[in-house]
Order: sequence, then structure tokens, then C-alpha cells
Amino acid sequence: MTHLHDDPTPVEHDPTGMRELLASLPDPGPMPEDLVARITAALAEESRAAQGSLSSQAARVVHAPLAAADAGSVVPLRPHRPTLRHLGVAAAVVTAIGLGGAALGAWPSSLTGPIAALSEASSADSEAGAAPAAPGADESSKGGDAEAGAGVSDLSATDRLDGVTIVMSGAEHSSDALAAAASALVTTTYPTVTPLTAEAPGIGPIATAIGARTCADALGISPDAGILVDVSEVDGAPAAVLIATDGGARTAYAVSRSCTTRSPMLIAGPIALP
Amino acid sequence: MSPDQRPGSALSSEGDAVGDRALVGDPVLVDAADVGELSDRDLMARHVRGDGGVAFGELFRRHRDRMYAVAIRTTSNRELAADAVQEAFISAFRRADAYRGEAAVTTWLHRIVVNACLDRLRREKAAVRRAGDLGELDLPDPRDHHSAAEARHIVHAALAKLPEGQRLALVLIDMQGLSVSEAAVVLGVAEGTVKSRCFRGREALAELIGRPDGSPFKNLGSETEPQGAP
Repeated sequence: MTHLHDDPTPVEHDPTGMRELLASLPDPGPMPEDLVARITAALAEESRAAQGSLSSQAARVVHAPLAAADAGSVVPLRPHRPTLRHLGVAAAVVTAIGLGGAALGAWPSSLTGPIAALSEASSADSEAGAAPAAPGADESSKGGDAEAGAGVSDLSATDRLDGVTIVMSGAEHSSDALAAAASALVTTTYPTVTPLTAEAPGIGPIATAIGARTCADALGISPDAGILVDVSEVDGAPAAVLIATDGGARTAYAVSRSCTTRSPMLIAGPIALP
Repeated sequence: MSPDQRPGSALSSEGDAVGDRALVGDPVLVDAADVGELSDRDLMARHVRGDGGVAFGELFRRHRDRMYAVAIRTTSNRELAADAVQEAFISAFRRADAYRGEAAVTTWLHRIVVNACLDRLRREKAAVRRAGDLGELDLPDPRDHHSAAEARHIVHAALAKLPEGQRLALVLIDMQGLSVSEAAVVLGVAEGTVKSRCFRGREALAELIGRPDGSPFKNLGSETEPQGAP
């Protein structure tokens, strides 16, 4: 049967009944929370990258990222030196999107004693200042104190977001010697990876601040704990060593890079560090 | 009236009634207290002028579920849909300055999402094969009665057998509820073409799954790989 393109029949006219059948199919449902978090982190990184470009490379703000999109990449990990200003921008994005419990904070570009830096994260955030929260954001992002005003709500969100440091030591750890490896990580300087990025296909969610915090949650680590993640290898396979610092106590875990909610994929640990 | 339908909210260089301090100043100093009240077009304008991503974050919050639905229905594969919708939102974030305001923001987003889905499907032939796998088609709700879940599988399998153009027209018009003119913008074809694809797609679908008069399902083979030609 042929239909002319100027067919005056309204599209609603359907003697086959298929239109009604298709319309009756249930909705796929809301976007899954893990995907929301993933895209939120990616957008925050985009925002941060754009602001960095604006300040130093205005001509490439729009066109350079487009090239990456055309190439089919999602969001690449890229070298980045976060500034206080960038952190404020990213915090505003995450807050506006309503991502409660996501990870965002301050990280130095390199650390001498990463754990020490973790304990300083909140003061760095305070210096950075916090962007006001969006009223349209989900309630979960508001810190549960609507009467306190946007500034306090955002501070609450920021407090939950800090304390994640990600390094790439390049080491090949052994699960049998996790304690020694973790102790070395705590005291050795390694280049940090900017944690606030989208998941990189070659690394996985563990290299993102959100992913690291989600993994920590899956391991039963307090959300108040500082987290150091070394994206490396364990027993010859891609993995990560995660060290949690909570109340002065340090605990080490070796996990798969796919560690996530309800699936920590623990390789070794927990091991209490001296 | 939805925010996107408010009058006087054209995407232009005119200043927003609120939040200009953020638009012209340091992006950190975003006055985000009003984004929930802004129309989609105003949010786009604000994002283009630079507000540290706050306005786009609100757009994402508003439309993410709908865009996820269209991605699921277009790809019939949750993994592909997730990748495509992420790619689409990032692309929209970067290309916001290309939005001229002729169509609704939702229509523009639909177009980006559909294109991202098609790009994924075309570039990843293995993924196309997975999309034809009934086991990964839009998974039924476990609360469904068996017969209802089976019917959903059959409909999705039949949809997957349709030519791409017809399938997209039915997804956008009959499942997503877009108008013919909106679907035409999304697909980049004439409105008459959209209608024609709808009519043909419904007839083909009815032929595949049987008429809704109680006649049995038929013509559904085991292979349900989506067709590439429109």
C-alpha cells in the first residue's frame, strides 16, 4: 500500500490498532541512578573544562570538544589542574543536578603524603566557597535542611563530596602483600588523577570521584571517611587499591575497577594499616 | 503551561530577567536560585552565555527520563541506550550554541539522542545484533503477568524487524507522543514522510504480530535484528 507524502489522513487514523498498542506499552521507567551519576559527573567535567578553556583558550571552547564528540568518545580523562574556581563551578553543577552523595572536592595536582591531604580537603572547600544550590534540584542535594538556605545546603553537599584522592602509582601489587603496598601508597608521592571525570572505558568507574565513593559505600566504608584510590594492578590484573581513613584508622582494600554498588568485587582486605 | 511553552522566552542575546549577574560575570557567581522557574529556552540561553553548567544541569534533570526512554526504545538495548544518552547530553552541552530556538528544546534534544542512538547502532554491528536479542530487549517488569511480558517481547521483536525509518517514526509518534511536525524535525525529513512511515510501519507491525482482533501472532521468526534501511 502506498501513501503519498501529502496524504491528508491524520496520523492518528490507524485502522490497524498498532498505534494504540504501542502507546499502551509501559514506559521504560526513569533513568537509572547510576547512569544519572555518570552523566552528572561527565557534565561537571565538561563544565570545568569549558571554564578552563574560557580562561585560557577561548577560541577552542566549543570546537575542540565537538571534535571529540564526533569521534564517538564519551568523555576522555584529561590532564587537569583543578583550581578553587573550577571546584566552585563543578560544585554548582552537581548541586543543580541534584546528585546527593556524589563526589566532588579539592585535590592538589600532586601530593606528598596523600592521606594528609585528605584531611585538609574540607578546609580547601571552605576557601573555594560554594555556589548556591538550585531550588529545582532534587531534595537529596539539599542536605535535608531547607530552612537553612541555599548556602548551608550547598555546604552540606560539598562536605559529602570531598575527601577522594585518586592516584596512578603504576605499581603491580600483590594481594598477599596488600598491607605493605597500601602503607607505601600512604607515604609516597604519586601523580594524582583528577577524580571528577566520567568513567573512562579503559579504567572504569573507580577512577571517578563518584565511582570511588560508590565503591567505598559498597565496602561499607563511612561516607565521612577519606578515600585514596590507586588505580593500578593487583595480582597481574587491572584493579585498584582503596585506602579509607576514618577517625585516624586506615583500612586497605584491593578491589576490581568495576567495584560499585552492591558489587564491591573485593580482591583482598579489609586490612587495618598501622 | 510548561516552562518551555512560556511566551517571551526566546533564545537570544537579550538578558534574562534574573541571574544576569551570573551571566556576565564570574561563572562561579551563579545566581542559581531561579533555574527551576526558567523555561527550557531560557535555560539554554543562560547555558550558552555561561553559567558554570547550572542551567544545563536543570535541563538534564527535567528531560533525562524522557530522553532515556527514547534511547531505550530506539536501541532496544539498555547498555547502548545508556551510552547513547550520555553521549547525547554531552553533545548537547557542547553544542548548545547551535540551538537557534526554532524548535522546542525537547525536540532538539530528541534529535540529538536519536542521532546518537543511530550512530551507536551503525558503528557497532555487534551491538546491533544484541539489539535483536530478545533477552536484552526492553526488559519486562517482573510484576508483569507472564502474558503481558510475552506480548511486550513480541511487540518489541516486531518493532526491531521494521526498517529503521518506520521504527523511528513509530517510536517518536506512537510511543513518545511527539507530533508529526516535531518528529519531522527530529528525523530531518518532511512531515509527509513521517506520516507515510507511520502508516507503513503500523501495517508492517500488524502483519508481523497479527491484528488486535484476537488472531494469533504470526511471522515472528527467531531473528529480530533491526533493519538499517528506512
